[in-house]
Amino acid sequence: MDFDYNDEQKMLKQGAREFFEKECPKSLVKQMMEDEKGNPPELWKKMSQLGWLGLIYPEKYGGGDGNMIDLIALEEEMGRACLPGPFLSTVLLSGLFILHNGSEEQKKEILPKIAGGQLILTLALTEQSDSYEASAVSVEAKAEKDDYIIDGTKLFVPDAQIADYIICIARTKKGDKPEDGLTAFLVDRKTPGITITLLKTLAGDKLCEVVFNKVKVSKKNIIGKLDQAWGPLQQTLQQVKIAQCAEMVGGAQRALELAADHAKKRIQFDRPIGSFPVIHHLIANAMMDVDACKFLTYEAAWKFSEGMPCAKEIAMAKAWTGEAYQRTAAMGHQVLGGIGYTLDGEMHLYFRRAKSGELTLGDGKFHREALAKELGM
Amino acid sequence: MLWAPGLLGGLTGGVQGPIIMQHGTPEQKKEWLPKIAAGAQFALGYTEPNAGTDLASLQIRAAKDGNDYILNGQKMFSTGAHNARYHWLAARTNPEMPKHKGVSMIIADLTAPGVTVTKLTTIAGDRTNEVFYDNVRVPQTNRIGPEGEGWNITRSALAAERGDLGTFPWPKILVDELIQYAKETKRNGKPLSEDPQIRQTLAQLSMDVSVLRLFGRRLNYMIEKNQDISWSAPFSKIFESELSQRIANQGMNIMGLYGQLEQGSKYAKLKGHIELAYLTMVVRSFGGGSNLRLRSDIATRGMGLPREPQLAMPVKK
Ligand SMILES: Cc1cc2nc3c(=O)[nH]c(=O)nc-3n(C[C@H](O)[C@H](O)[C@H](O)COP(=O)(O)OP(=O)(O)OC[C@H]3O[C@@H](n4cnc5c(N)ncnc54)[C@H](O)[C@@H]3O)c2cc1C
Repeated sequence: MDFDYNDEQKMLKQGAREFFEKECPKSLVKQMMEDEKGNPPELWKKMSQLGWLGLIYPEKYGGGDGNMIDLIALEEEMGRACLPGPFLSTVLLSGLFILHNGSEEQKKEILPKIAGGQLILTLALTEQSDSYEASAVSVEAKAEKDDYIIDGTKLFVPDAQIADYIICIARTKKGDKPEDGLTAFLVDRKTPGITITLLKTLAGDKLCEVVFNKVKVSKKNIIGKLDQAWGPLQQTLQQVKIAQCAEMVGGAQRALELAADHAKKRIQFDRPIGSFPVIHHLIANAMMDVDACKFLTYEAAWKFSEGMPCAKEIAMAKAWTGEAYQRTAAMGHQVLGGIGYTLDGEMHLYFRRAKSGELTLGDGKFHREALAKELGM
Repeated sequence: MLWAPGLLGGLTGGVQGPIIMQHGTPEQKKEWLPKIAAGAQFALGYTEPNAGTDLASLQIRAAKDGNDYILNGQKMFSTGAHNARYHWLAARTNPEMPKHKGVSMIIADLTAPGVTVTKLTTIAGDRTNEVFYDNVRVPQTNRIGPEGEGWNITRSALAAERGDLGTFPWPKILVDELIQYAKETKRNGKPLSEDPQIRQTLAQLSMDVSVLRLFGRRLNYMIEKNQDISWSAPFSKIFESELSQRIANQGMNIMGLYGQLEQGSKYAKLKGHIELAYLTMVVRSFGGGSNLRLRSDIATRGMGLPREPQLAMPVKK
């Protein structure tokens, strides 16, 4: 494993940094936290033109043939920029699930449109049961001639309010194990019977309640195999978590830099506060914390891109990164003092996103448990 | 907002009353104590852009002019200044004296000509203010205590406030709410309260709440006995502020995806208290005395450790 990106990836990363500094200033980020859509269309279009929305897809689906390392280089910059919008839900959760499981026809139909910025998709997995286990899926889909009828409520669905399609994970059969009998349906959001309510969240990201009231969807819209969505879905989630960790790495790194910059500049007691040993300790601990995030994430990404087993590495990366990002941003608030506590500041953006990133797709507890299982316990 | 009055302080006569009793002239007692009893409100004007933890470097100038002072300068984070009538102001009356010696306590009228109050919004959505003074006249009779004694008066006021911070009710309220939540909420078919890790977390947090309560009671005991609380008051303050942040942070994990829902959102649990606490409690680690700094006070005053050499001998410009 390399501890650094190759030259091309460095260029991508540098280009992304400059692009986001210009096109995604923190004023826009804050505006999007209040905005119901939460996705500035111009920015999305430009990212598509730069090839970033399709970066990870094969060329034949309008993509850039990038690998996991390319993706995490870009993701780090998205995290640094606090990029709003549906990259995770559309490009990663939905796009990758379709890429790995969709029919040739579905892939040809959808992926180029995601890459081209014409389609927004999301994945509806979690429900009121507040769990990422298979047993938590209770939304049902019953066969009726050539259709299925979906009934039930999904909760914490990202970006559903702007999605063209929702991939709904529903129970099609009561199997012996909760993992059996789950199916993924590609549902047009405008189908009668779908009601979407936006929730108000800490990070101002767009999580929704999606109610399916006898929603009719054609059998043709099943993605992957009937009753067997769970395993493939977990594989996609694994890959998405690596990208999500990289996004958090970028955010944590920036929070650390903001704290260190402030410590160098802020004068109290006739000297920079950064000269106090307690501040050295805070910064030094955070540096170790953030580098741990980085290397756990890089290792997971590298193993993944080499096709090696990496369940352990992913569990470690997600457990560590979520919590360390939160610690780092909290430290940042301590160092910034009052000036960092106003809405005009930036630290709170990281402090908010750290926590929502930690909770999304399973927190530290969830992934330590996953790791324990991987360790044979 | 829910937390503002108790948390951010300032909007009472609670600190001012006892200080005027102790340091005021008979005329001042006659003027201010009835006003305070009738509910006159004060905003606390200590902090400035360049004077936070290092409060003694404050620069707002009170220059003598006949029987008045003329105030010029800026205060920062004066919570409640947009509602309060009076500003409890630490101002520099003598710029020639060493930092700590040239400061006096002055009561300014926030409605006087030349005062501008502008809004700052905190990350938790509360309002605080910047206050600008442009040639504002205040009678010298509004100075509390002798000229140049402002620093000592401020310190005793801050210590009182710190003791108060230790009796902050929210840690206990929030832990009780989380315990109730754990009992009533099932995840993966089992009540959260049966999850061994959640049990450990909540047991630890309620233990911490007990320690906080005992620190607070000991502090009161020491005050009653007239003992030195310069090291024990920060105990409560530090312990409480860090506990409050732990409760909010760990509470969000206990509540899982629901933890991030704001007050007023559909599906928000515990009235969004935990999410609000996550944002609000940040301020407590540096507001009302910086925890990092206060730890030095504890070790030096409580256990007699030597002071950090550089700080004991300030480098002077
Ligand atoms: C919401 C809010 C409400 C407030 N309300 C009021 C109010 O009503 N009235 C009022 O007067 N003030 C108020 N304040 C100001 C508050 O008291 C200050 O924020 C506090 O004194 C810290 O000062 P600062 O923000 O300038 O941080 P700084 O002093 O710049 O501190 C930044 C960091 O440096 C550290 N540091 C500083 N000095 C040392 C040292 N010697 N050793 C080790 N570490 C050190 C601090 O611990 C902190 O981590 C409020 C602040 C906020 C955010």
